[in-house]
Amino acid sequence: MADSGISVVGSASARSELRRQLRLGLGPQQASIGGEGRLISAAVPSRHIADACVSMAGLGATLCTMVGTDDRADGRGYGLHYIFSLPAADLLVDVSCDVPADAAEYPSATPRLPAAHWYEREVRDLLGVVPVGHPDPRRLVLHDDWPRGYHPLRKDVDGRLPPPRVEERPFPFRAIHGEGINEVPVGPFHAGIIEPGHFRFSVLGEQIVHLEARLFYVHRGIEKICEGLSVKRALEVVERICGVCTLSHSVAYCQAVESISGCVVPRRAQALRTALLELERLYNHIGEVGNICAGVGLAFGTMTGARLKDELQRLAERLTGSRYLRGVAQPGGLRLDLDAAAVSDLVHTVRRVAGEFAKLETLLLGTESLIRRLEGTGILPRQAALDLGAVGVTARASGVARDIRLAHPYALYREYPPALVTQTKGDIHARFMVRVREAHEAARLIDAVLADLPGGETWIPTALPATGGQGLGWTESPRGEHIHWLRLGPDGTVDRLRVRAASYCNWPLVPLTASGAMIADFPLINKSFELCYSCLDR
Amino acid sequence: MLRIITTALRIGRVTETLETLEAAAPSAFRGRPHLDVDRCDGNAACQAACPTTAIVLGPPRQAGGRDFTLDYGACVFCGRCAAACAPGALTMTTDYALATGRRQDLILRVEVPYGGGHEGPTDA
Repeated sequence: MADSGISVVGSASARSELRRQLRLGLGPQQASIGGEGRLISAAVPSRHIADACVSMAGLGATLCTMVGTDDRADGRGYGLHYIFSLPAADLLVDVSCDVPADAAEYPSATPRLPAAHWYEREVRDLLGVVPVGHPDPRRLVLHDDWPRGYHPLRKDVDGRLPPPRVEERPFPFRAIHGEGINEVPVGPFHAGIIEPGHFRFSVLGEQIVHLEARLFYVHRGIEKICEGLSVKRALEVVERICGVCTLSHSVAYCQAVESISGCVVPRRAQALRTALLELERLYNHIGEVGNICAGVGLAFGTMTGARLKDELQRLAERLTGSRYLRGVAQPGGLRLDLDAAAVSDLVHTVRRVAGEFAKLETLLLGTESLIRRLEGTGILPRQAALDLGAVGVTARASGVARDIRLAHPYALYREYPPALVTQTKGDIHARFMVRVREAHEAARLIDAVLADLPGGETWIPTALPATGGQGLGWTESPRGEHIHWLRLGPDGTVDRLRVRAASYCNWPLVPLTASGAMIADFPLINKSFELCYSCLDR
Repeated sequence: MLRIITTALRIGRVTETLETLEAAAPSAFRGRPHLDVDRCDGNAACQAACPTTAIVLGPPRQAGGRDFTLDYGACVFCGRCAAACAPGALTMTTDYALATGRRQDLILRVEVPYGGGHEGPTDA
């Protein structure tokens, strides 16, 4: 199966062909396949879950997210869901299994599917379900002052109470021994206004030999907080996961709700969602181009990037009341509408800022002292990006032709497809150039979508099925794919929400690119990935 | 590098003063919620709409009326309360300067009429 070499092409017949292949591939493992439309589910026994995942990868599928659930109240033990994307057929496949509560373990997929490495560690930490054969037995999300055997996402843990704390044992960082090798600990507190993360460098002179990062210092239990909330209330929490990509999160969440209700979002709302999502991309990409300049001390680039970003955030505030596009999306459409004057403001401000950004781009690309720092530094090889499931700008800069706006179009991206921007070198320069080109592409899309903005309503009510349900929503945020897996209970409240932000996939790649670099280049390398602690830690 | 310097000189100073920014707060901005006590009928729809329980209406008093408290420190400025307020008593203002020296100064406490029988369902 893994080497079947059968290619899947997008169309209805291709989808039924894929179902047939799934049945063939997963059949011996007693898969039951269900679902319609773009989301297919395949349930397998837990002892075959790793084989099923490897079969999916053999079909050319990419692992999008993995979710652990506590279903003990239904007598089903724990649930595991591996969500795969098959872009050629525009299909998403939820490969799931139940794990018995009294023997909470399953074969780890990580040895053969490295992209699963963090997901399986997280499920072990938060639900206490053990991936047998996982190469890294250390904790990921929970820090060492959390008691053993305490798994906060289990339903019998009261999320309102503070977790008990035990005396902290030192985290077992991998120590590199050798003559002349020193360790440099950096963080979790940093100079400047960034979030907490600990970086343990092993250096030989100025050169980084090995880097390990310890993250999740600001784990807020957002997924736990959402459990039991109404769909509307949980949206208020989702909008506050991250300030950088608020709208990408809220739209992904709304799409998950809409996939459960089956409602058709009005076209005008889809068009405005598209335009505002691209506005979010534009102000972030411009800001990030400026931030990379900060990494080399080119203040002019930093300040110009910040100024242009602020102009767009003020535009966002004029249009929606929020610089971060909070209070914009809601299940069924939008909470607001834009009148003709607002649309004109959006079009003209974006055009003007894009024009100024083009001038900045010319100046920066002509600045040799900047470009020479970017070229050849922090290289992420294409194979590593593929193996570990890199997403977004990071993946595309390493030659991975993936953009979820094109793989699984949402909003109006089917009619207004963005140009796929890729680079091949995988260095900081490549990530810089992908952002520059995607910024222009975002401005073009805003213009194109608003040029024939449809009329009509911007919201319809979402009727949720009385039995609850399970849904998936996704967006290509400025940093890459956001995937929201949502399950609603029969009472209509959130039973489980798994928020997988782009940074979750890209964080583990940074240490790989640091090996061999000068330690002074690390801040620049790190900036070029533009990773989010808030999105990651949740 | 020379082009960068000449461009920077041409752009000039872009820093704005606080006064110009205050004047520029757009009308859509959701700042401090304001309660017009004279229009409030005490129906408590705002309390049901508030995702952070920043708004709490107390039980009826013997002399009539009830306590209305709004904690600006718990408010996330989502505007759900204003959208739910049928009489239009609660509105979002553009006021963002909410900092105080003491925590209790962030709590607004007033007396409003008692809208018995109009309690909205709690959307928790």
